Amino acid sequence: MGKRKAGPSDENPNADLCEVLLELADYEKNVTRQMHKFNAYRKAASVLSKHPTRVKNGTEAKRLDGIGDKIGKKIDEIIATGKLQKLEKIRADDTNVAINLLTRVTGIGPAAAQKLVQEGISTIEDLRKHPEKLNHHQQIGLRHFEDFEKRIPREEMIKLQDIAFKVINELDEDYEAKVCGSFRRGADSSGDIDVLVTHPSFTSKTKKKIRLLHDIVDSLKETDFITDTLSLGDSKFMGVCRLPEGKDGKEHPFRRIDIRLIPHDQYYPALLYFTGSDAFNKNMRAKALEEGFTLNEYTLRPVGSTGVPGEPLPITSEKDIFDYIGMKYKNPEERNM
Amino acid sequence: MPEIKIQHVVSCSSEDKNNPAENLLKPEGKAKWKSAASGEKQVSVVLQFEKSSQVHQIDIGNEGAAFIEVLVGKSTQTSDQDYQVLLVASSFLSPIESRNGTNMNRVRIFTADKLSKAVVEQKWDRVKVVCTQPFNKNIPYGLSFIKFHSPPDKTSQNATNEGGLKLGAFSLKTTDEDQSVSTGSLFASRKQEPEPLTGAAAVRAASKLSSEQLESREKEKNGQTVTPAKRKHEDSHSDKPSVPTKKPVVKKPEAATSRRRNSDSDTPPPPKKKKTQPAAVKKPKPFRELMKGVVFVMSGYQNPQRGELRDKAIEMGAQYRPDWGRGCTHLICAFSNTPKFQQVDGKGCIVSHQWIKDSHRNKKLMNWKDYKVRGSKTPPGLQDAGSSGSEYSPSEEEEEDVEEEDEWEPKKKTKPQPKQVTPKTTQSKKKNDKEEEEDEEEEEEWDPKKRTKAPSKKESPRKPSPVKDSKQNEEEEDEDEEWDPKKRSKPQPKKVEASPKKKIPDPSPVKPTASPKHSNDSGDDTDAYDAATDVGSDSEDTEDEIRRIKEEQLRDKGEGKSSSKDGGSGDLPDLPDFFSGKHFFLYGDFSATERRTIFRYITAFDGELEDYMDDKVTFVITNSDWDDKFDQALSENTNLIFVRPKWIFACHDKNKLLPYQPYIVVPAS
Repeated sequence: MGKRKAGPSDENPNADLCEVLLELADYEKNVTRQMHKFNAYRKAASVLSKHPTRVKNGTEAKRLDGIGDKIGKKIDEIIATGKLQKLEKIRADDTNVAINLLTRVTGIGPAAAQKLVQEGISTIEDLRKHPEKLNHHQQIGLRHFEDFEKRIPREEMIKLQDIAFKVINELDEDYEAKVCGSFRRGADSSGDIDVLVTHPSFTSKTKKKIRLLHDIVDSLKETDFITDTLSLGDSKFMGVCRLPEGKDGKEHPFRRIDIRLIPHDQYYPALLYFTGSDAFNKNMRAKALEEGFTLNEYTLRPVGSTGVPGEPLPITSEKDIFDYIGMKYKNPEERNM
Repeated sequence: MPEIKIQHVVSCSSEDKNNPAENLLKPEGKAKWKSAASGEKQVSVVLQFEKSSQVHQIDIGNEGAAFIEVLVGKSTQTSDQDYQVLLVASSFLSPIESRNGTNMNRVRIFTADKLSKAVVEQKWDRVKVVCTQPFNKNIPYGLSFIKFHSPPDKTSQNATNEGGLKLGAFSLKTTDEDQSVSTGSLFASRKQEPEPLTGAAAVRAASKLSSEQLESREKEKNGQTVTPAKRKHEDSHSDKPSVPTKKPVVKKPEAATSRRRNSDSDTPPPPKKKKTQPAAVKKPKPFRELMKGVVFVMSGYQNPQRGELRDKAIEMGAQYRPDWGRGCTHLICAFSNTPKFQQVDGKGCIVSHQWIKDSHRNKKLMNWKDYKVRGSKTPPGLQDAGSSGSEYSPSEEEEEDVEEEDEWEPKKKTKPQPKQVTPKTTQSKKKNDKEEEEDEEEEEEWDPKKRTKAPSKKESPRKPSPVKDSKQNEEEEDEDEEWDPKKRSKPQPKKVEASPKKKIPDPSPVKPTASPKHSNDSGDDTDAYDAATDVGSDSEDTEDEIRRIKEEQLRDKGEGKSSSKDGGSGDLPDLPDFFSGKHFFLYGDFSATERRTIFRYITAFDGELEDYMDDKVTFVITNSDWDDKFDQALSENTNLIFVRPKWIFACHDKNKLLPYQPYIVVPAS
């Protein structure tokens, strides 16, 4: 889950409520680190954001799936008073604010943020004064902190994609690559660029180490597309990229890029998964279960009579997955939920 | 890989009237199991193995299901939930194929590496096959066949003929049938491997199921016609007419001529002669066809030996059947008291594994009679079925007989009958009896002679008769049954009574030890034999037989033993049952082989191996040192005795119950 997910859309009649809930969610994730509460708030915010009308009170809100007693009461309180006591308290606590801030730096999670705050660091400036407290990843995240906060316009995404694909295909025509995420769903802007790559010579059965991803990264570095590496393994690269300088000499912001090398036989489940959206994936997995299958980012498998997943099914396209679980195929643009 | 026999269908979720689940028991793939109605989301069938065993490979022929899952369990389990997944739900049809009805009969073979590791290493006796077809609600679906294979023997892994063969009707994805390494080379490597007689363990377990086996056999009969692809090929190549058809014809004429003795003497020879002649024309049979026409069943052998033997026989062109049924000719038997033995006794040639080994080693078909298991009757069918075996052997022998051993020389068999008959008639019944006995032994002796190559002279004049006699004797009873109702009624019962186990004729290759008899045979006995043969049917009565039996028994005690020792071919031991009533529990770590061996020995000697520590357990076999759990167990069951596995092995070595005290495990001081 990226840190830079687009917020709820503005037309949302319950936008203020959603914002509160998402803030509470962040608090639970970053400060108390109670992920279940984080998920509960997120789910409530999500369902509320899709509600076509303004909810009048908590009781009405509770009819929605994902909003229960506690959140319903909070909604009552917000509607009645315009604010939420619990959130005010959280906001009043410098520690919470600091932790929330620091976690916006890529590479700094809740735990690291908490530790840093305890060490007296509460702002980005503080961080910049103490680079020794950060690892390589975090330092790069800090260096490009402002850039990484910016969303990437679709236009730029297309350019980034074109450059990356050109390099990759020059390396080997057999590579298949796709930019996933919200971009593939047709979003106007994206938080980062997420590339899936596969190659026929690499399957889940492949035992030996493969250089495929390293080759790609090396080539992209040579062309100055990739500027930094946050982490690089055999199957996943995390780093930073940037469009080359324009003719007007204007520099483009640095962008976060992930490249994943997917075994050829798992490419389509992965493509489906990384295209999202989160909610769509959840729904689709639920549907799969109803139909007696289990779906994850690697495989689609039938579930046996005792609940044991079966062998991975042969899949040659995203359509196959929809077909197996009896869903009508949805284009990526239709997967925004 | 040996196929695991399926005993019966325990249950199924539904079945089509015309395609009942019972069809899965048939060896052939033609009969299917289908759900009763279309649109069932899931259908399942539960099958019972004949005995608990590891499943090492599963061959599945689909019939319209999209996914097939195989679970295993134990018949003792109480709930359905105790099934464990052996083969996870596996895809046989894609949604599109399901809707279009294409590729409905896909066959997939799942080897051990595709099966659940934790489950595959255990033994199971029950399987549940679950089929689903979520994509097409309009077709009934099920299985066209399913086969389970137990782990292969070390040597047989490259010879996966069996599975492949039986799937002949289907298009196989994986075809390893013709990995055929040159047969000779395989042989050479196998020869050297020691083949311990290890069949004991299965016997006891099997005996309990014998009745059930009978049922299953009957069922199997239907499917027996199926012959592995290989076999068919060979047949087509071979000029010889199919054995079964010929045999009956042959017998009849002979039988008509002389009923009893004749049957003894004549019946076997004639088929041989006839067959031999064609064979003679032919060149020595190729190794692969040595045992062509032999359809064999095995009893009392356990893997890996079982697999080795079977592979060898199959290599030589024999056909393997899991159970005795029509068309079967030979029972390869480790003990003379196995259920299969009793089932087959009188119906087919019962021989020891040495027959296969020797034939394999010598690259020619040995005379099965030399390997006849003690106490087994020569089947009436034997001549038919046996003829298949024997026929071949003679033919081959003829061609090759110069070479050596076990092969019967066709000459003997062929001619002498008439002459002998006349003298025999004159002789007394007793003589006949004796002679018969002797004959049997003689046969054994004869063979050796023949083997030694010296026999040619003797054989030609005398042997024909004695040989025939001997063979006949062995076969007589059985044959008699078929041939003459009279004979059957009288002689057989006697023999049966007298020597259900072994005492009847000892087909065992007695070798030189039997010399006394031998001499008789060669000299006067031949006449006696002839006489006996003639007289036998009419003249012999129960008294004679009883007498004969007694005599035989005496012989057994004396000479019999010595004779039996040779190839292990002739007489087989009864399994001792000194562990009877004792309950064992294995505790701690054992190597797989050790565990298996222990299990086998315990089972073989009629002990009970418990899966769980319970009140019945008296002996805990363990390699572990004493620990608290021992104390605990002891406090709950004060009779417990903790012993090392060595004790079991020692008992096995000595073939008797040894005091366990030297092997006891005691608390560390």
